[in-house]
Amino acid sequence: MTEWLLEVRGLKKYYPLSTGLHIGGHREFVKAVDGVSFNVREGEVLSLVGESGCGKTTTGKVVVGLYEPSEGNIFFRGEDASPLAGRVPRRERQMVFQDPTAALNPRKTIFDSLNRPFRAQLKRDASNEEMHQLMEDVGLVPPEYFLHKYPHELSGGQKQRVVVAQAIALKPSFVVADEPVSSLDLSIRGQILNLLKDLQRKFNLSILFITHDLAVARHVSDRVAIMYLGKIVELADSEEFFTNVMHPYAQALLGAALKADPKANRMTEYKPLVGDVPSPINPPSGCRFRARCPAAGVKCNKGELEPELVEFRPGHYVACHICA
Amino acid sequence: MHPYLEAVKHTWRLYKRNKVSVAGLILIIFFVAVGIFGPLIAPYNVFETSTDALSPPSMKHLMGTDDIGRDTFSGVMHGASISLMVGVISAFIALIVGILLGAVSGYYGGKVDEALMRIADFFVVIPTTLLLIVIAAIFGPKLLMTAFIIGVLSFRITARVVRAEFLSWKEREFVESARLSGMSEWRIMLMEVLPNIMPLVIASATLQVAASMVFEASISFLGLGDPEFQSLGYMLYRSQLIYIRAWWTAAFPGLMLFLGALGINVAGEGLNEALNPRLRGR
Amino acid sequence: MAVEELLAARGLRIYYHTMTGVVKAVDGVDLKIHRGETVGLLGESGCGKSTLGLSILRLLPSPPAKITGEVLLEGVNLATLSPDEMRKVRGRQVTMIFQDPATYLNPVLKIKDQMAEMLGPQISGKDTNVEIGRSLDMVGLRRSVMASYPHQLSGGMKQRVLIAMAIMSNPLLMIADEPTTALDVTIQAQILNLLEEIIRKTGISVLLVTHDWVVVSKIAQKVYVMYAGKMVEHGETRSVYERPLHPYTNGLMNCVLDVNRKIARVPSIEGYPPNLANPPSGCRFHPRCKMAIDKCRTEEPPWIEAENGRFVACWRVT
Repeated sequence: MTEWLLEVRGLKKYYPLSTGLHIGGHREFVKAVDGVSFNVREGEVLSLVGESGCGKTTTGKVVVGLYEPSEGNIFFRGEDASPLAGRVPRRERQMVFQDPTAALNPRKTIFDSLNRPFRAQLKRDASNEEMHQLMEDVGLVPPEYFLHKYPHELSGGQKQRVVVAQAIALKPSFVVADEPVSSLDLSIRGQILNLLKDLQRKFNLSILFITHDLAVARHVSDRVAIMYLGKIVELADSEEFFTNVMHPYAQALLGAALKADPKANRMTEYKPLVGDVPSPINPPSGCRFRARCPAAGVKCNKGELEPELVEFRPGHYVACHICA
Repeated sequence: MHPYLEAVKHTWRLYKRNKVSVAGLILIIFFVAVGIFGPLIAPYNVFETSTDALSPPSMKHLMGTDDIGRDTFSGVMHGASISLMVGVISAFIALIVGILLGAVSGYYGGKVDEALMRIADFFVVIPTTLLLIVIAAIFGPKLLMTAFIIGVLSFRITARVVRAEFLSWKEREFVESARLSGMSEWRIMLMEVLPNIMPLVIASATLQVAASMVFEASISFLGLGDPEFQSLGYMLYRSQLIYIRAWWTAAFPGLMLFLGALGINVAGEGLNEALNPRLRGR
Repeated sequence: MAVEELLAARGLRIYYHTMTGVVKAVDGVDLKIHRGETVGLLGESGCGKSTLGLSILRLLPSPPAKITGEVLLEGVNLATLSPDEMRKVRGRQVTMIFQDPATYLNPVLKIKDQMAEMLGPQISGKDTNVEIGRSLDMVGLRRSVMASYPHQLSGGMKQRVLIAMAIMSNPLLMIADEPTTALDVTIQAQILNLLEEIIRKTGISVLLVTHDWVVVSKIAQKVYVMYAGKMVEHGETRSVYERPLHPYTNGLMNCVLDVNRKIARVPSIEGYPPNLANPPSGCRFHPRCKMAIDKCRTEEPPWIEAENGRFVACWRVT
């Protein structure tokens, strides 16, 4: 058997720019994910970090089985994991969503929402013990108090706990956490992050943790992958990444992470990246990052080859001509 | 408390603020009361003729009589319930067809959506009144047939509302979450999304009742109403020949119809307004 | 050393009279901004900071909002101004920029037309274009942006346009409500640097409303911390960072993660923010406060100057 729980090879997800009936004409695509490969072990937390438009959320949704990939392969425990193939049971791969208010049906009680996976997949209701245990696992106690409530009666942090409960209800092996704390208040984030870490340890979950916040990534990950415009530009063990970050974009992300100490903020002369995050509709040829890269050279230019992920140090991959 | 009850309470508070809408609601209640109890309190049989033809409103005949001595008051009481019945039946049909088509169109989107919307557009182009005339001319005037056809031809408005709602609700994360729970698309549409859409749809259906009532009245007025049932529109039709000499034969049925349609329209608009801002605030 | 007071709010209360009860969004708040200062107004969602910011420019719909207390701009109580007079203040002496620039730009008008609208009828024709060009230069945008429509610009560029519009009339005070929250991290850094530069060049005073401590620590000299509609702490940013007096401030700053240092348990504050229609008795923070004593549950702590320039509302400090 393979050592990897999840294997992703050359994943692409393109969206056509307009839908509906078309007669001829040139189709443009949004290349949300444009050739992404990575693996995840059992019990490992891999963070997928990037800014808006980099494709991290789309990657997560394809990998969890919500969308079909346009190209590429996904293997789960060695089996073809595409939704159409239907070889991976639904319960194995689940997702924690970003906005708890949007992720819960406003007209269903907490009990109904949590019961859903039981009815849909096990064809029965959740037993009292199962429901109580689930609520305790996510820290919503006493269970009787919460089970008959509606989402609008709960706070943001409580709702997010319900969303986590929905994900782990049937004991999945793999969870995609899509910016799970980004819409929560700062003082509540730690509660949810610690909850996820505890659940990960308790159930030996593998987690693909999607975030734009490197500080959060540092506190939860075993390994880190940085995405830019649909591709992974750097991938390494967490501590290795933060000590020896190599790709210019990853360096920029790290540099942009401000400090809490006002003195520190004044002293560090951080030169922000120029330019804006480009659109995934027509990514630049050559290296996608060249337009904003402070270290770009001739090899990175338009018309040249795109850099591939190369292992520069043990377990530390970078896609950059300059680093070579 | 259940969201439905909360929502109803909240909507009622918003609704109350608009005095005009509340007036409309009172009119509806009045009209429905007449529609339900009217036939019971009508002193005379609607078809009963008498020798008191064309007599003005009096103690014996509160709203006067028509050319063959039939009591206008009884006619109005009865006619209100007929008009209401037509309105409700056709609105109900429009609702069912509209929900089905709107749901499929909005939920599946893409080519299915485009195709269905083209079909719906085609239905708009059909002149409803003309079609009703033709059908009545061929098959003879039949109330239920009329109600049915109005319903089928009016689905577009409901469908449009339903489609828009589905389009917006289906993108919300809890639908994706439902998929991840293992629910089939149909069940998601029916059990997760539809309950969230019903309030607005009901508001739209309410407006449809008034529209259908007026449609039926127009047909009857042109002479294609069902004489077996004597709707308010039919009474107006009969009054065409005699209203110069007997204003009451046109005024009372007309007034009743007007109040009913007005009340429903005003109340329905108010309901739409009360529901919309709440739903739009996401 | 007495720098002139530009804006002073005293006893400001903003209550919303809703169908379900009275929501005390801001409940007795004092705030001062001096000339040339950048002051941060820090708090989490629902604490009332945005409400406070909007109320200065009377941008809150009232009813249902009911505002009591004073807001003095250069000594003039804004509450006493007529709508016309207030309109003259808005957009000229006091301007505002918001979190999501897209919703504040008219999608069917070109940028230059929208900026011209802000300049008003006094300037016209060639002078307008000169002014607009000058403002665009100040925010680092090319003049060609003038002829663009909002959808043709990126998020960062749109925010720059909003900033340009906000400084065009040489206002005394700019209120920035979460100006970088919706932006990507790398763009956020650009915009903050831009704000710093503009503040330096124009000497404008800024009220920075945000939930993000690191943004405050980057550009604000002083900070006010709000919780559940009340002010809980105030002081120079450095001083508050090095020695937070209020348990909430302390707890909140602990929650700020440092990318350079990993800690095992991510800090948080237990419990959840209160319902402002029915806030806790006494000190509003007491249900979540590890240092709460009996007095905290029954009596509201007063807002007092604990040390020179440091204000706090906490029984354990006083």
